[in-house]
Amino acid sequence: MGLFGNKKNENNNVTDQYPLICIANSIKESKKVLAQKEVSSLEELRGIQDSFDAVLLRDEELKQKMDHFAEVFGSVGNSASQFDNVKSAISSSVSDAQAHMELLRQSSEAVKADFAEMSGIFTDLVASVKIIAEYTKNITSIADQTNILAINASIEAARAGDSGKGFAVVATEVKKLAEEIKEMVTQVDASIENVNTYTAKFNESIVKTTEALDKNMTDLDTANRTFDSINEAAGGADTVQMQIAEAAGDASAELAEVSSAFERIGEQYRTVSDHIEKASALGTTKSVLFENIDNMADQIEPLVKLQSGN
Amino acid sequence: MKQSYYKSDSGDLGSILGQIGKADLILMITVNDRFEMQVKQLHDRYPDIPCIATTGHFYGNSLREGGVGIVAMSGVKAAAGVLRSVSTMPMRDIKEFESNVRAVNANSNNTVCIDFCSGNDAMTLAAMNAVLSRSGISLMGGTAFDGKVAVNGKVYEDACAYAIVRNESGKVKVYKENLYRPMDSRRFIASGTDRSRYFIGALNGKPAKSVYMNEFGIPERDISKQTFSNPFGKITGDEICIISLKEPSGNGLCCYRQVNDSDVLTLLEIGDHREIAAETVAKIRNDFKNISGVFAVNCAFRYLYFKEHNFLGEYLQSMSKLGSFCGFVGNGEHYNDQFINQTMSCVVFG
Repeated sequence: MGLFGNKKNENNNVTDQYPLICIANSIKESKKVLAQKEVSSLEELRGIQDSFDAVLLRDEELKQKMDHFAEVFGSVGNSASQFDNVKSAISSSVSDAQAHMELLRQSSEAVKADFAEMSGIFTDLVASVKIIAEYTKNITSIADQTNILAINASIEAARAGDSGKGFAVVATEVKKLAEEIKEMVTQVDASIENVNTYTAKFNESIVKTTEALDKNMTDLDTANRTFDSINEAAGGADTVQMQIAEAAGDASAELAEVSSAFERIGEQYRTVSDHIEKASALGTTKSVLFENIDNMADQIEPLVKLQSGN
Repeated sequence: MKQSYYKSDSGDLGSILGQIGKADLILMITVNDRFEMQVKQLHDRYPDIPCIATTGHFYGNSLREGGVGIVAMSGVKAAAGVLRSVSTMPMRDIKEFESNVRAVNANSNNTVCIDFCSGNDAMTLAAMNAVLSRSGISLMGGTAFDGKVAVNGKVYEDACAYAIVRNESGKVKVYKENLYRPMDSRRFIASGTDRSRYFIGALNGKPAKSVYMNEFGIPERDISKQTFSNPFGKITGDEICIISLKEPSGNGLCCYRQVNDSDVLTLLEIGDHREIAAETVAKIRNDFKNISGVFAVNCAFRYLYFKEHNFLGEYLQSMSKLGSFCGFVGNGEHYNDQFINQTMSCVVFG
């Protein structure tokens, strides 16, 4: 008969072996549960393996997308950095410049008008000075005539003797006066000459300045045309900008796909984590079974000894 | 079911024996010095009532060391018995155990096994649960303070005194209360263990003693004290069983319960004892509309901890508000198939 069979003898009855039978059944039961848990653990581990395979596949896809993404964004970066801000700055500067140029034009026009007015005034001045010169000529002529008269008066006064002395004095004074007038006229003529000289010079300056202003205006026009060209060129950058925007749009779409890939990877990681969690929990429950198996198996020997009378 | 308790802080059993009315089961907790005498005294007075006894400190709504306590349960069907040689072969008396379970018409909803053990607690629980688990019957109990238990007037050493108790008028449920929680998510795999000495050699391949000392920056002499703050927890699925540290031994650690190779351990830290105790009370109230009685085993470490934090009186009063609450301070606790330390294990009768 086997160890757990119904061994009978005269001294021991069947129930002496009952504890051993119980232990054996308990151990078998524990082992059965253990085997089931072991299978569950292996399934969890296989789940982990599958999840990680999927993770690796996703990772490769992600890597390729990232490479392409890097290229696209590289070109976006280069273009955008060159055009976008510069275009705005150019446009702004051009607007400012053209505004300032317009102010300059208006100022120049005003100055030119002022100079024209001044030129007109000096022309009148020259005309007036000419008239003054004519008058001074007349004054000189009169002074000469007065001088002749004074000489004649002196001669007559001398002829008049003593009664003509007073008249001679007057005649002398008149002669002196005529001389002084001629002197003054000479000075006036000199001043008039100066005025004429300075006026000529001033007119020359006005002419030169007016010519310079005219040249300025021409330059302003040229600059304005240049700025218009710049604006036109900047406007042409819109085409480039559109290309950039298109590239950026492509990049964004790629980025969205990358983000989805990350999300899928995250789900896989979470699944892996769940599997690991479950596997760990299963692992800890096995220790109780191991302890129970040990505690039961440890009793077999002392029970056998007890029953055999040792 | 009705649970009544009677206690004498002076240890005078005679003064309380006369107060016991109707009883279908009697539990007695007393001190070692008076154990044999009072076991006989009790049995002589109530020879026909199933009775189990152990050594320890009895409490109701208060505790005085050195007293004697009696718990009388009526409205139950009970059978008391003993498992002998529990250090080596508790299965020896398993047939009688099975008979007693059958005798009370045990049912998972209304039956509990209450046990007092002096021997290999884990081995004894494995033996009892080999039978109880078939019917889903729960178990609670504790370790005798001084290595002695008694059943129906007879004193045993290296034995487990048990009572299979069926509540004839309501349900039964067991609870455990853990004051500790994991410090973090780290796990330590035990190895180099010696089950007979409750010894851990290594944790994650490193000497267990140095792992523990380095973790808390403590010298070797403070290891035993550190268990009040940071015992080990053995992880079993969602459950954590506390393992108290006893003392260092060589490069390893001796504990108050068995640790096996490949056991997964974690380090625990104390939580808010007031909050946790309140949660236990709330959980019990939530599960039971009416409470006939609560019988609890509190670990000696909890008893010392509560005393140190002036919480013992408050705790016992709080639990007593559930109804007839009593129990004893033990050296280890039993909760179904778990042998645990630094825990409270209790049965609630509805």
